[in-house]
Amino acid sequence: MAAVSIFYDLADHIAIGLGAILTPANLFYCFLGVLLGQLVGALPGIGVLVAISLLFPFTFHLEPTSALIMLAGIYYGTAYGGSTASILLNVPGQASSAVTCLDGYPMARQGRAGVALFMTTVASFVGASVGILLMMLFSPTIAQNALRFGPWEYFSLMLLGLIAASTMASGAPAKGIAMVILGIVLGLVGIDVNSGVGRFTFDYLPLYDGISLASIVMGLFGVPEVIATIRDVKKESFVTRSISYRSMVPTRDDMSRSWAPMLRGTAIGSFFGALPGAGALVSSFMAYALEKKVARDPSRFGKGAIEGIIAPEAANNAADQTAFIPTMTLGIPGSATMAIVLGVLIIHGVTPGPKLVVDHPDLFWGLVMSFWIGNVILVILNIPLIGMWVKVLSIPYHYLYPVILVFVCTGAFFVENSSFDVVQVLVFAAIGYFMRILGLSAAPLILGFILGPMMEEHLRRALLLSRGDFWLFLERPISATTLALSLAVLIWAFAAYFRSSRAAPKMPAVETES
Amino acid sequence: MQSRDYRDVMSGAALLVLGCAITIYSLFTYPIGSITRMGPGMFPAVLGGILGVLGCVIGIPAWFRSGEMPEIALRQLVIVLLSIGAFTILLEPFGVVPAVTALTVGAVLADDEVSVKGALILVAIMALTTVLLFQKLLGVPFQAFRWPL
Amino acid sequence: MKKQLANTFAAMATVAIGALASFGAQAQEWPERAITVVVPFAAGGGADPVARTVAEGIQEAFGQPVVVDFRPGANGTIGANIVAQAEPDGYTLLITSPAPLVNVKFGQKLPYDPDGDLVSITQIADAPYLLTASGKFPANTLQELVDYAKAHPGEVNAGVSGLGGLSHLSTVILQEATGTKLTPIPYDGVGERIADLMAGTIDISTGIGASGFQAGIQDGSIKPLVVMGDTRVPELPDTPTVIEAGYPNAISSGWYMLSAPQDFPPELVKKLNEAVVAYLNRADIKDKFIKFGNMVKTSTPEEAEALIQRETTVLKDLVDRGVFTVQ
Repeated sequence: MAAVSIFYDLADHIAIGLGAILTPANLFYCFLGVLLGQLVGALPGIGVLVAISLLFPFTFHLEPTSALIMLAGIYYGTAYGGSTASILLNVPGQASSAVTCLDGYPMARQGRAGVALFMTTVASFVGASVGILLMMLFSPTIAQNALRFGPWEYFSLMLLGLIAASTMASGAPAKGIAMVILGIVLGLVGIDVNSGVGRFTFDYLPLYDGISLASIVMGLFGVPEVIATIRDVKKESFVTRSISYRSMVPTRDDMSRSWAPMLRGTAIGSFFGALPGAGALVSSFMAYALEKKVARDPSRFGKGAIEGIIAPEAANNAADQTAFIPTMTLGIPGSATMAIVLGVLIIHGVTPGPKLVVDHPDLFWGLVMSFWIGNVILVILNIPLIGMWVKVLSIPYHYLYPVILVFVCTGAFFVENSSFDVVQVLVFAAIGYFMRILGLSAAPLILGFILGPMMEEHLRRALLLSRGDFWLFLERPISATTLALSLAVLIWAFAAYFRSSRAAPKMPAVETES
Repeated sequence: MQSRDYRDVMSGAALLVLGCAITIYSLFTYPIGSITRMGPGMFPAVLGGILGVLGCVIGIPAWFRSGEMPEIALRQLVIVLLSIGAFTILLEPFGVVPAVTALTVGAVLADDEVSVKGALILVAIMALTTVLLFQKLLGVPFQAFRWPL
Repeated sequence: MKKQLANTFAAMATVAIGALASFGAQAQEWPERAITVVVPFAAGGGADPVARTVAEGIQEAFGQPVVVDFRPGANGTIGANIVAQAEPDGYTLLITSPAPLVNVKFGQKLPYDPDGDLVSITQIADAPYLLTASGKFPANTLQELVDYAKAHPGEVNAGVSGLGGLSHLSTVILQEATGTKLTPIPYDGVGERIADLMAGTIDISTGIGASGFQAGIQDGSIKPLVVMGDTRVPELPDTPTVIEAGYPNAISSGWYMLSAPQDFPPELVKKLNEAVVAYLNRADIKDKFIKFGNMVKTSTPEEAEALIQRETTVLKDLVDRGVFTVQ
């Protein structure tokens, strides 16, 4: 009976939501939002935070519902756009799409860019849809459960993430772990929250805020690729096959390989999105690591495995939707971007929180229904665009790479109007190129960069709160389970490594890397 | 093929040096604290140590096996990095458009494929795109041109 | 709906005309071209709407476009430094919270002297800190908190945003005024701090205005204990001030200030002060600020300087006595 009444309520809510959004103005803002999001997402460098903070003053003049619909549209629209540049150019449009480069770009070089773009659009839509459904049905429950994650649980989760990350790299596990650690150290640069001391800042003021995420991602992923490709292009033709609309159609094999990663990615994304502080970026990397773990033949990864683009894209889109749950129902912003969304509500006199759904049902359900409309618009927008995007590949690379460099550098500059951010791109480009030469992967470094400082912060906070008692990590059930899982992953990784090294005592000395 | 896997020997050595540097710098610069009340130096010092150990794990076995050393695209590397450097130097005093121009011209030089005419067209397109797309359409506040006083 | 679209286009048109006007300006007395207001924090943050409103006021008064330039970083000191090094020609101003002005930060060497390199024009707004407790914490008033903390010294966990920051300072001021011992728990962002407060992982926390805590206050998972200012805040009419609660020394507030580079011409200070004070005291602007979670509070340049001096003295004293430390 209860189930039936839930569906009656739901029908009511959908009606309220549709009533709120199906006005010409709101549809216009929804369209404008996702269009801008798609554009900003596809451009390397400039990101969602920049786009949303630029439009923030513009929303003063709008109704709160319209303002929110537009900003939200930009937010989840970028996740669709982000994968495009990753796949076509190996330059991530968004940090959360960096991991999509790993297999998306090899697919493009095999002439399968169309398939990759098509399947990521589908995965994005599936991920987002599940995220929206969760928000419609279980918002209050999810929000209350998210509160059960204290510093102990966060620490255990971050640890699990880092262990998973170190297995992400192709080749020797020691190299992957080393890159994670290097990433953590880079992440520690800046003022330490727990002591107020500036670490590795060398008394240079701009370093007090740490290394810029946009700069490190662009520097390590974008520029070294350009340097290497300028030379390689002369040896072989960049586009190996002619591009037709037919090449967009996934094969039966693609389809059968895709559905499971799509669901796993969605689950990971929905989970991390709902936790304040984790989000799309972490979930996309975790989804990739999981796919590599469960794959029958992990060696396919990094060479154009479709699972390697499906799972992260489903994950980051699901996370972008569920990130609205703590924001809207608890008033807790999970990220800087969500803090701005929250700010818009507050300026319009709307208090986010448990009463929001009751006090402003038109706003809440209007927003939720706008997610559906926005995502459908994005799919409609993206499928025909694939043909156009793929044509980008037929532009000779010597015209393309200066354009990429300009977007990377200006984008890094626009984040905070700081030329020091471009200097960071320069430094990481040099480091990234030598890492490439030495066969050290950038992906685990990025995840270490993000998770490491969070892990340290939570570890020190947990110990501060428990007055130095380590047992609390094992006494709290969620934390204990996660730690057990981390241990299992570690044992699994070592067992697999020893088994493979015994089976093939003469390991190939050089790992092939794209 | 070379008699030793110099690629991994170099990675290992670089990580070892880096790890030791991080640990030593942290130990001397920041309070370490105790396990239960960690100071800001504890975490980086431990990480530097692990990095050093991993450097040995990667580097030492590589000494005893053969391997290949990939070629370095020296010209492309230097020119691309110099162009980005020129961009940063011009950015604050002269504005975004001169910086973009320098970057585009510099980048083109990394390759011999683009003609002078092609380069000029590319510069014009990039300058226009930056101003129209970022400043006019997206409203990013920046100065396209600027004259240092 | 039509009106909304019209507003949007009107706003866009204003920007376009403003841009044109800056080219067409003719030689005359100040201001003869666009004025830049530097905000040393990220766009979209708490300072954003405050700065934009004041910028509109300056634009209205002097007929020149005013550009808001966000230069975030290092707790406001990067942007403040840009203004401190700028020409005192009236075209570069600073709107900021106390962070870069009252700055005796630990281990952080500032390239400018917050005391001498910047001139105050007027205070803009006042946002007293709010002291809140978790719904699971036994105390419901400031007095109950004090009694509890005295019975359990060092056991009360107070969430602060980074050690050595302003919310840590407000917690230390509270501690000093009430003679208690609290354990500061540092947080990076505001989100996790609120979540942990709701969950009862930390016991109390201070924050500017009610904004971040409102959702929790609504459902009872966060209890407002006291306003750390001299007047009650409009959103929480039932929450007493520290003065009413009997701890007048526990005053702590985050304010906004309009400042300029050193050697700023006194006649421009006067002109700007008069124009901005008049603008901010309009009824509609005052209402707007309440929405932003602040209250308009203007002052003379001298009063503004005195406010910074007073807060710097308090902070220096706490640091010198070893009360406000990081370890």
